[in-house]
Amino acid sequence: MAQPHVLVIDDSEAILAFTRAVLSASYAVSTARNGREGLDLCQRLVPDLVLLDLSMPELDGEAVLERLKQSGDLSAIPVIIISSEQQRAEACIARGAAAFLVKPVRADELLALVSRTLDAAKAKRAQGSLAVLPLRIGTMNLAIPLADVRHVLLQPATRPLPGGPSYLAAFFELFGESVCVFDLAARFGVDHAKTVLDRMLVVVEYDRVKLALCVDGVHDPEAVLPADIQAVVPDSGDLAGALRAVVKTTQGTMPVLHPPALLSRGLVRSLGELVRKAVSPRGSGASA
Amino acid sequence: MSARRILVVDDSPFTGEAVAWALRRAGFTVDVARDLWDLEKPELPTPDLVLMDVVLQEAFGDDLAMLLRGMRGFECPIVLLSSLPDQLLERRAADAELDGYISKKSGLAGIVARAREVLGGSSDDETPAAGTSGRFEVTARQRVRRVLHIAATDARWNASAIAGEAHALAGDADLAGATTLAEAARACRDVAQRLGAGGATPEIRAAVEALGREMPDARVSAGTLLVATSGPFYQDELLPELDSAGFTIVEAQSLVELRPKLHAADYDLILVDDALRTAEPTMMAEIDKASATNVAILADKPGEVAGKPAISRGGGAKRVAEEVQRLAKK
Repeated sequence: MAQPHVLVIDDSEAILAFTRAVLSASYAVSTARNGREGLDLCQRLVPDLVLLDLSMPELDGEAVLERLKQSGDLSAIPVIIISSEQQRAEACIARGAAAFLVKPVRADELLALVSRTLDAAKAKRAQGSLAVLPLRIGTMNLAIPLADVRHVLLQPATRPLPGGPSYLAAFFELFGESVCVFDLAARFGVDHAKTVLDRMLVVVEYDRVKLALCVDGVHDPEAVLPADIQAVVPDSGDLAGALRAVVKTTQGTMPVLHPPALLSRGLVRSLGELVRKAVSPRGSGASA
Repeated sequence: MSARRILVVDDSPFTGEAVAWALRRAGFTVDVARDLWDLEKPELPTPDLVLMDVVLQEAFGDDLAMLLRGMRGFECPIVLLSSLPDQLLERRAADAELDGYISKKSGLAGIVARAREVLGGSSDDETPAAGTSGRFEVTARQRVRRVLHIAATDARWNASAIAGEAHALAGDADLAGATTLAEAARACRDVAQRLGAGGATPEIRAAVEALGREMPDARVSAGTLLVATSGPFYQDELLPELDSAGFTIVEAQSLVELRPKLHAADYDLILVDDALRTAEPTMMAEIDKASATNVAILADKPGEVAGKPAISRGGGAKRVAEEVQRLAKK
């Protein structure tokens, strides 16, 4: 993963050299020698954090801060002021600075503050975001909310579930509990891309009922930012109320589904009964 | 065999000069660096020992030691030199993997003894006495004046700057053997550091007052000057004259140093060395932008320079001080 990018804006070459030496082991560091150059670099590089001096030629640090906070795209970049002018701290914080560090600066304090400020900015960005698990079924990509996921398993041995529809035809034991396998490919009428032994089961839980979604692949979970979550499309067609959102992930744009909505309420209610019948001596036998 | 070379890093002109004086008397070759800028100069010779102050203006000495080792390739012993408490110094030296520490309380003799211990050399030399006492008086009085100046109004209040001045004063006073003044400065530093975030608390004000009482002639100021200059004429001749005329002097040796000081633009006069003005083409524009109207140039000839009144060095420091008094706002 790329290192976070820190831009240091200071008119002192010595301070630039010092901060670069302190930060460069943990961060990608760029430097600017005055406010105007700093603002230009902010626009071009969009750093993850800015360290900003106050008294500088061309454009004073407070003016740089004001312009950053007023420009939509850059306003979320956290800015730490580093200055000997402690009397200006209150005004800078009021203008939106994340922190004010008084010179002389300790190397370990600077490192700790940069790390804390980046974490806080990340947490703020994540507010209102949606954590999803992207799945692959045949040629389809879709996602489910990560909060619903309990386990991801390689395909275990399953037993047939007589009486269920074609997409709900097996179950298996997980920690002593019977879990039905919901074959999303069969439900959507598409072909699996992988043989049954290479598929995966994603165990989800809704209202204390567990379901194992049979899928061809699972990508890494992702936190989708609010800007990448599109308005929910009105219920339509096959999705029948199962569509939660459409999100932009690193795997592409995909729907976020609520799988139980793809099953009828009656079917969900009767799952327990179907399993009980299946585990009776007459219904035994493994299918995979 | 050539004399062993020692680099003294200290932002206090008095400490730098006094330590260098004592070490030279003991036969060492000494270079003095007062800040990060000096340490970056390529012509800085590689020393056999570094005596590193801890609290500098822009960074801390133990952090800079890492830079000297990493970026300049200094492999010699680096010893911290400070008036911070011994326990703290010991810890910071160990954390930064340095070669120990010397408290400024050990005085100049202690510093020389430690340099000999690290570098070797005869111990028969005359033990140096604390010298340069005239310089100490001026430096110390100016530090107290600056603390009182910063603490005088809410607009200027800066606990960190008060702590910085008081800390430097404590170190200078330790070396000069001015124990009571050193203790008052230390108390002022500690309370400003501890309570500074809470603003101008009564405790800090009391500590500032107590410090002022240790140096009564610093409590009356003829005005405040921002002086952008350096060099021997200023340090050796003009500064003592301006000090004895009662001025509080805020100093800057470069435009980078001047900028943050300009912001608190309530000086009675800003005195700019013509050489510095010429070297920094944007300096006068930046001074004007800070709405500083009362500006004079320290030049070779009287008259006018860059639209500002010029005060000639040629008349000597006393005449310059008289002219400054005339021009400074009352």
